[in-house]
Amino acid sequence: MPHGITHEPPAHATTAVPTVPKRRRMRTALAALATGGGALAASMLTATPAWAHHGWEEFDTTRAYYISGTISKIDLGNPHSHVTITLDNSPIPQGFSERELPEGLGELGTRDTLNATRPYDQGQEQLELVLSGPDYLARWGMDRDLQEGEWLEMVGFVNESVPTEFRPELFWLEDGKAIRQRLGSLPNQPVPPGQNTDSDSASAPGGTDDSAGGLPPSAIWTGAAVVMVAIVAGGAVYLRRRAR
Amino acid sequence: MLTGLLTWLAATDLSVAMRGTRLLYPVLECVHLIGIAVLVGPALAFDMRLLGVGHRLLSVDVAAKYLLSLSRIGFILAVTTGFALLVANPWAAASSAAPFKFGLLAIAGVNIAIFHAGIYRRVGSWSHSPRTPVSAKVAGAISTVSWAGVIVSGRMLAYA
Repeated sequence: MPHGITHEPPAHATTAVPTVPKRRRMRTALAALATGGGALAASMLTATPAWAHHGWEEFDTTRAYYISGTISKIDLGNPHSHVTITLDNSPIPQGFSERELPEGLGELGTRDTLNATRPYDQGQEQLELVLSGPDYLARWGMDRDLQEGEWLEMVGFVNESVPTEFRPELFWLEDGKAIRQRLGSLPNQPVPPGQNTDSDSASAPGGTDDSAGGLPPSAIWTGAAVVMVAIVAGGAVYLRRRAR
Repeated sequence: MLTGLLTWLAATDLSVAMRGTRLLYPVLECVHLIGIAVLVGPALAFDMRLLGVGHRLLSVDVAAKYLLSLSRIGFILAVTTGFALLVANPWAAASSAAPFKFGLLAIAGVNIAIFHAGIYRRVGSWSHSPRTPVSAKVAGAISTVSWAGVIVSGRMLAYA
């Protein structure tokens, strides 16, 4: 575009002849865009999970574990805080599943999680906890900072590919105060320990099937891609029309 | 009532499947950001023209025709991905920042409607003038502030 915004002659007078090279240029641009987008998507799909720590998809939420122990390291931050805990292998306390829940968690089904909680048996002595950022910790009732040496108990889930990483749904301070850690829904419902423990085919009553709603990720991705491409292509056509 | 609606939405098959699709959410967020850039960037450039910047370079009607077309494409992209993000994670709408975001969006929308139904109808008479009418300047200022506010409150959905 050497000379800024220019007016072409009225559209009906000239359509075919002068637009041919432009159309080719646009096609090249669109192809470049598509290639770049494809490369980006590919690099995202193969990237390590380390930076993609949002949501619960990376955690095996079919198995809810009870853990307790002492904090040995604290790293508060956004979007998540990281806290290391040394486990003391306590059994699940009496009356655990009847404990009072913080506001809002009842509607999300945390009672089901407590009913499905099993003792931790995955062999780690320390776990790295993924907690919410400082703002959410405060919002969910943490009116002071966590301290090294402090004792916590919690129910949560193990990262599917990182066995040392644990993300609690909620945790309790030593004085019994419960701090919520889950904002939304889990991708899969926790399954009670007796029932169907061969984790990957978890489809217990009340639980969500792995291929929930019969919509596999490929269908979701295809749908998303079709909509995005339609908008970009439609936009390109619209822009050309408007610029005449 | 909002909580009930969000709980229902979160339990739908589509919502569950979208949450279960790895990396879908961050990819949608990326496209949402691109949409916002294509929407707000040209809108801001047009607002600046309404406020008088660049009146020797280009007329208001040319700026509108070119920039606002781009903005509309960005808007469609942002709204579409915004709905998809909302379906995948309805709890974002429970944030205390949500009323601000949607309120500011409404203000931006009403501002656009008033501008196009009002002073812009007579754009021919002031398009090339070095001084834009006061109501057009007000529209440009409201647009700039409200879109910036939509971005800020939108980002705060994750923190407040």
